[in-house]
Amino acid sequence: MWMRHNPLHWLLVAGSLLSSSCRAVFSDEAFHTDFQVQLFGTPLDPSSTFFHQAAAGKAGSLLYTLSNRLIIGAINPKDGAQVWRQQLGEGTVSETEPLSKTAFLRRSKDGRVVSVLGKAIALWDAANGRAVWEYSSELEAADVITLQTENQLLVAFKGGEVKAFQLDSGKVLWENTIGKGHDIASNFNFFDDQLYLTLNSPATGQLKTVAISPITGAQLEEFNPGVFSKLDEHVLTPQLLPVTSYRDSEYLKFNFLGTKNVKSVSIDSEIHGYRLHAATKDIVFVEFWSHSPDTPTSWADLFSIKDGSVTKTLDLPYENDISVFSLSDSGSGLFVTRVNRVEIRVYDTESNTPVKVFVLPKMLPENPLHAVAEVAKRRDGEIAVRVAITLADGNVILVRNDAVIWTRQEALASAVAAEIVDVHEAEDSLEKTLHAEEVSNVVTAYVKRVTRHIEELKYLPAWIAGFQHSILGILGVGDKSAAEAAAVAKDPFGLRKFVVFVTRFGWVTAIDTANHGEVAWTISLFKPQLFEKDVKGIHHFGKGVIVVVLASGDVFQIDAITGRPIKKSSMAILPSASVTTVESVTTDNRWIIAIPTKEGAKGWYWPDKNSRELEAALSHTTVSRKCEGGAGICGYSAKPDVIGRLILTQTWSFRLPAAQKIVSITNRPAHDPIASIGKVLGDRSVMYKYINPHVVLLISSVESTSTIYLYLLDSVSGAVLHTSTQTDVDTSRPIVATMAENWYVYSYYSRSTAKGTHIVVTDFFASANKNDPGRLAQSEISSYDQPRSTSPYGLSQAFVFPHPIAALAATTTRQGITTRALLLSVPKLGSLLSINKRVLDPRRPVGREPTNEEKEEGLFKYEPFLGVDHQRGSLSHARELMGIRSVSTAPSLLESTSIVVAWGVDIFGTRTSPSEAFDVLGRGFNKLTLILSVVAVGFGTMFLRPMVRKKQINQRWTQ
Amino acid sequence: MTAVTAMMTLLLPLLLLFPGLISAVTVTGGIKPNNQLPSVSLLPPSTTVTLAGDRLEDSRSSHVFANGAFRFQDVKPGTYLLEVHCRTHLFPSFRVDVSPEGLVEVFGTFRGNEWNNKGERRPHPIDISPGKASEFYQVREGFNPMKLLGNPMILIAIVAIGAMTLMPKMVENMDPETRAEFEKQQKSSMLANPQNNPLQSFDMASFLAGSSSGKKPATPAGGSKRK
Repeated sequence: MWMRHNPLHWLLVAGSLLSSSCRAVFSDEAFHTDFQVQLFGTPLDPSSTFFHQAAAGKAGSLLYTLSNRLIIGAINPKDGAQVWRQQLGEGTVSETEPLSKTAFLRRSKDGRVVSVLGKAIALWDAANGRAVWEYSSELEAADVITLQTENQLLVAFKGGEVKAFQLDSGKVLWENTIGKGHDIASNFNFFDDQLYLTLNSPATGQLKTVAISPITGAQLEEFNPGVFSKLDEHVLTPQLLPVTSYRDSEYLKFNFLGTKNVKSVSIDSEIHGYRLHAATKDIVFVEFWSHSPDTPTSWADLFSIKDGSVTKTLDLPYENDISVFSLSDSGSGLFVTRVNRVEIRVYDTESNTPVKVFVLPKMLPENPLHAVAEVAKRRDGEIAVRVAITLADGNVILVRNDAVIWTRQEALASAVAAEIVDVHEAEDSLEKTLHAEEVSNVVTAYVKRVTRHIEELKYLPAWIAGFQHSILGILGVGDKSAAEAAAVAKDPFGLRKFVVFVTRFGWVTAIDTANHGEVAWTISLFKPQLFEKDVKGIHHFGKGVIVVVLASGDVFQIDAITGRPIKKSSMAILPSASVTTVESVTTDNRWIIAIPTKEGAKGWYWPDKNSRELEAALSHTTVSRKCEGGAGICGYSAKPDVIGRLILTQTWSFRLPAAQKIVSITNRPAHDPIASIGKVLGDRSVMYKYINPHVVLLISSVESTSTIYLYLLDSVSGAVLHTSTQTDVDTSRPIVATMAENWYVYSYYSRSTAKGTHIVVTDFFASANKNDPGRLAQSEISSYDQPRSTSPYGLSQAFVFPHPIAALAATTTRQGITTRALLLSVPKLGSLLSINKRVLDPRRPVGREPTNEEKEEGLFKYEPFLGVDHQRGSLSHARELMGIRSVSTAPSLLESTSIVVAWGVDIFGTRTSPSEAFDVLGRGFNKLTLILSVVAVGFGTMFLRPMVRKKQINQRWTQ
Repeated sequence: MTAVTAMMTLLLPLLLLFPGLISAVTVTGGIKPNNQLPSVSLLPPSTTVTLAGDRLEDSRSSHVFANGAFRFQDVKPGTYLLEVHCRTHLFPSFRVDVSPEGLVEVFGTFRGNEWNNKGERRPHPIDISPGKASEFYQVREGFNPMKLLGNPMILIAIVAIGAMTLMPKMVENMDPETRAEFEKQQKSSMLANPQNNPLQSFDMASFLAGSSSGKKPATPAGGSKRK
């Protein structure tokens, strides 16, 4: 009745609008419905991983590390919890370049650590990870050393420049260039108050060592003639040793600094790699391993370097497996810890029989890559050891004596691909059973139903047992965690998903979103290293089967629920081929299709069965890929041939002008239902959406003119549906895009007068006119039948956003009724933000207040600046996310709720309801209050009833 | 070597006197606590300040140090946007112009502002105070008795109940004459409407037939109930 009154109507519309655009995280849901796996990445180098006291004089040390994702930080060795972390640089990590040459982490004085990444040097507070100071130079840093007595940090740069920084302020105390600025510095050594620097002089092609005054930086003396030869190569030498080490193909040599004294040890560098460790200045410990992975060997030698001579004092036996060594000085002596997959052996420096052997209860899942150990000798002579081991699967474990204390799943920080799997899809759902009953005849259906009911009886005792729990849970007095665990196990709303990752270490790992991101299973593909280009795809093949396709042609079928390997097969494939999946029209069969880059070559499909069905599936579509040379997209019609080959016929090609380079190709997500084909306007007319499942957004850029071009293509016919350009774009910064329904959103950095990150949204409608359904009115819509008059009508609006965006995604729900929200990963804030699509509506009125009709439609005035409002739009709330590169979404069984998983370094998972949780009671709904109020009303009626009756009777009598 | 340092100390003021000699300058500043941010140590350690130039290579990033300071050294001449990236607090942005002579000019600016439109001029070692603290969570509206009392429907009900209980007392306190008149009035209204509880003996048939229309205005109690 009230709805008739217009002002009230406006109020309601405005209210619903506000509520839908400000769906945020409730404080009672935060940290319960979401999870974060905080990761560092795999420790890069043994020299950059160490135990160190967080504050001077404080007992207990933390484990510091620098990871392959360029994250430094501290881990509490007691429980493996993160103490702090910081990302070095912008977080972009080259996949193949060895990072350990340009990035390292070292101890410093007074509870500080110093990090170096290329040209940037930073000193950090070891207790809380705050920067003390930062310095960025013109040249790359080669080595750093902290002089304890001088309270300064010396940095040697690649050009031979040496700078001294005051430790507390970062002030440059002195600087000096050794040589003429052409020498490449490599290593500091500091002993007996003498400072030496080893450099490589390209002029002579030889190494040289110089003595430097640690007070003024002046070069005191240079020692090179007659010591080094042109073939010598420097070997990283521990800074406290009085020698510099280098090698040629046959020998490892030590030059006593300040003299011409050289001692050599025979080693074949072709076959063996080695690493030098030192904890005191008179012993050098050399760890050896074989370069060949097929014949793993390891051993170690201990040399005494005293009085100008190098003598081998101890050799730890040669073994035909991989073990890693760590040298530690516990204060009660030097100890060597040797770790392999089965045991930890502790040696002292006297004998090659271990003083203590700890056999691990379970063999480690992978070989160790490197380890750092702390050995303590108690008063009674008992040896205790604590080892942080980096494994070849990328994870870090801490072993105390013979027990694994904790495991950090650091390999997940190196994920190259991910796929969300619905846990329940694998099971035969009730829906399917009912459907089966429906289609069969009455008798069989009856028998089936009765047998099903009898079968289900076995759940009855458990249900009765759990009844009390669930009642208590409703009343809010029961064990909440138990009730929650029960809800997870039942998962009536389909909120539980497995996220399956392929990591760079050749492992496949699944995490459970309902269990705070705990690892559900992990399995090795037996590949030592995988890069992004090596993984062609990870696909959910239905029925709970995950298929991983590698560029090598290996196809792994893995049970997504248990992680059990089902089958490994292979497929002829070229590393450069592009891989997609095709679904059958009639059954739930799927195929993987590989299209080679070379023009005219045949493609492949896998599995090589049901080729008829595949032919049917391919007959109505085309497959597309980047053209040869990468200058556009080409579309092919494919037809299965014998032995898993595909005959490809090019049907269209879209080639870019020579200067344009492809930035990205975006498709609509596989699950992208559209509930409403039109948008109802305030005057009850309809703008029909442009709906086409085959649209592809191609973004290309021209660096010289700072322009990006956007092409909306039809992937079946190759028709160009829409184009637009943006000028003044910084093409060196990330350009990201996402597409869903009838719209796409992209973001770039603009150098125009409105400087900053821009977000542009474009909606496509069937026609510019209202009530014009365009092609939707036709009974059959074909991609081949697209005259110019039916090309979509695009409407755009641009917004300025305060921070760079690393990844864009759109939420997705089961039916697509819920409003979409755009998800933005903002690395500068460490947040995952959500912006309702209603805010990014290109129909928002510009430069004027909305008319009543527009208000009714839910539009409000356009504001160019899109601010960050955490309360309304931050999904990650107080959490700090690091290194998010990709955001995946999946529907749940609740129409209101979309599952979101963001990954890169950290993994963050949550559920979001862009239009509020309209189909489920929230945590705020108090069932106890409801029951109590019903009881109270009942009591009230009981009391009042006789009173009212009495009064009425009295009234009658008085009349 | 001390001679060199001595020379440097002599030269340094000279260099400062002739800023033209310096090709690149250092831009510094600090985060200053205010009532939104009682102490700089409350900021997350990952808080960074960026100086964004036209090209990515000219853009710099600096962590906020333990004392709240930040520093960009060797900034080339150009115009830059200085921003604080922090999850827990919102900060204003600044425009920083570095002239080829090495002069640093700082202006207040905001996103979406046209770049040529310079804002208020600020001193160079830039002092930044947070504008507001980020609020992450939405508060659920629980059961609030005061809010319930604020509801107009509840207020009407309370007034009605109050009138019902107070009316007989008021009638008692009336002087006899008025009271007699009032009672008489009441009686007449009761005669006109003998069933004072319309729900108890509500004639559905006559109501639907429209024959009760005459009675309706005389039943104020019934009317209010239907509301």
